[in-house]
Amino acid sequence: MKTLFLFTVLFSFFLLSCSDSATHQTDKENLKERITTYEDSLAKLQNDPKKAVQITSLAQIELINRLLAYSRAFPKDTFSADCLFKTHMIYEHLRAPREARAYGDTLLSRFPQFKNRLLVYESLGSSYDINEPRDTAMVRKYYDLLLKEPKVPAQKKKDIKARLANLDLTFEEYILKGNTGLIGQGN
Amino acid sequence: MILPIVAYGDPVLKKEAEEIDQNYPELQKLIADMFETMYHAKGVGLAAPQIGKSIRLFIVDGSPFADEEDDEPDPKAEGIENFKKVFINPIIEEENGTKWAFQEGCLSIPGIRENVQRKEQVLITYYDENWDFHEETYSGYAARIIQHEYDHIEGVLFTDHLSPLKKKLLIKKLGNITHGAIQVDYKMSFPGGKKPRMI
Repeated sequence: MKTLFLFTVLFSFFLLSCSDSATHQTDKENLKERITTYEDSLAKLQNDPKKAVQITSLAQIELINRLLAYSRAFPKDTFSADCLFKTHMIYEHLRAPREARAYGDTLLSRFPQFKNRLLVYESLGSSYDINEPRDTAMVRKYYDLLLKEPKVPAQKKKDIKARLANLDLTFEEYILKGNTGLIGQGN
Repeated sequence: MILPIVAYGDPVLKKEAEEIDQNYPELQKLIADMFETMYHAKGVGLAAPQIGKSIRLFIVDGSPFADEEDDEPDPKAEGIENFKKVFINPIIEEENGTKWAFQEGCLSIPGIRENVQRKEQVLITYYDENWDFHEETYSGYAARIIQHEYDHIEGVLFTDHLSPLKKKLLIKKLGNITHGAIQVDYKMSFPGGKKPRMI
């Protein structure tokens, strides 16, 4: 009788853990699906200039909510790195520098080898340089990380070094000083 | 008289402008010159700081945004064909609605156009060129033009609404504008000291 009871308990526990794992996977897929569906609908609007005006800040906040739902539920998952990256970029676009910096910093502390880290370094360096309040120590931190990356083109490294040498100047002062021939992509 | 438009980098564009009163010298001539300058440069708005005067005055004429006959009606363009006004000592009392993106440009920042997010609707009080007081609500493109010009008298440029990364990527273009290394088809003055180059 005792053996049967023990077997039943163990078997139930096994079934429960299997079901948990399946639910976990389903949740993961559902959350991912919610993000991609929403991104696709925004991308469709973006492609039509007349419809693009429908992409309001609320629509972008909704996307952030979906991205953060995933990264909070599965913080170690590599897709969470993409979610944090997109959250950082959207907040910068919405001119919310405090949030943008926070999610960018979090991304790099959790995923220091993130595939798009070069872009994040540059974005965070610019954010701490151009947004108020400026934080030149953080600008130096991120631009130094960028300089250590072998894939960064030589011209960009030169530009970054020139900016680092003039961090006492604000972005506008730096342009007025006439050093911009040495900085930036000049797209 | 067509006035030179000051370029990005001029400190007057970053300064909060001062209110004026009815004794402001030659105000009507200044307004007429600003309209002539704006039309010559094919703009839809011009703020006094853009012609080097740090005063709270801007003019608008949104008619170029009006729908063409064949176009599908654009609700944001409603009433824009008659949106020609002078705003003296304006105050944006309220901004309402959700933000929407629109590609803006600026006569002081030629050659650069970027998406800027702004709220849908503004409630503005102002005096017109006859010193009559108005309180009006605008939405769509009219609100957008007002918000852009109002920013000028607050010392804010549309580039200040861009993400830092975007701004950094534009640094060379912005530097070229400041130092006059650009070609424009209207008169400009450059803080970097170079003479304007017209095409």
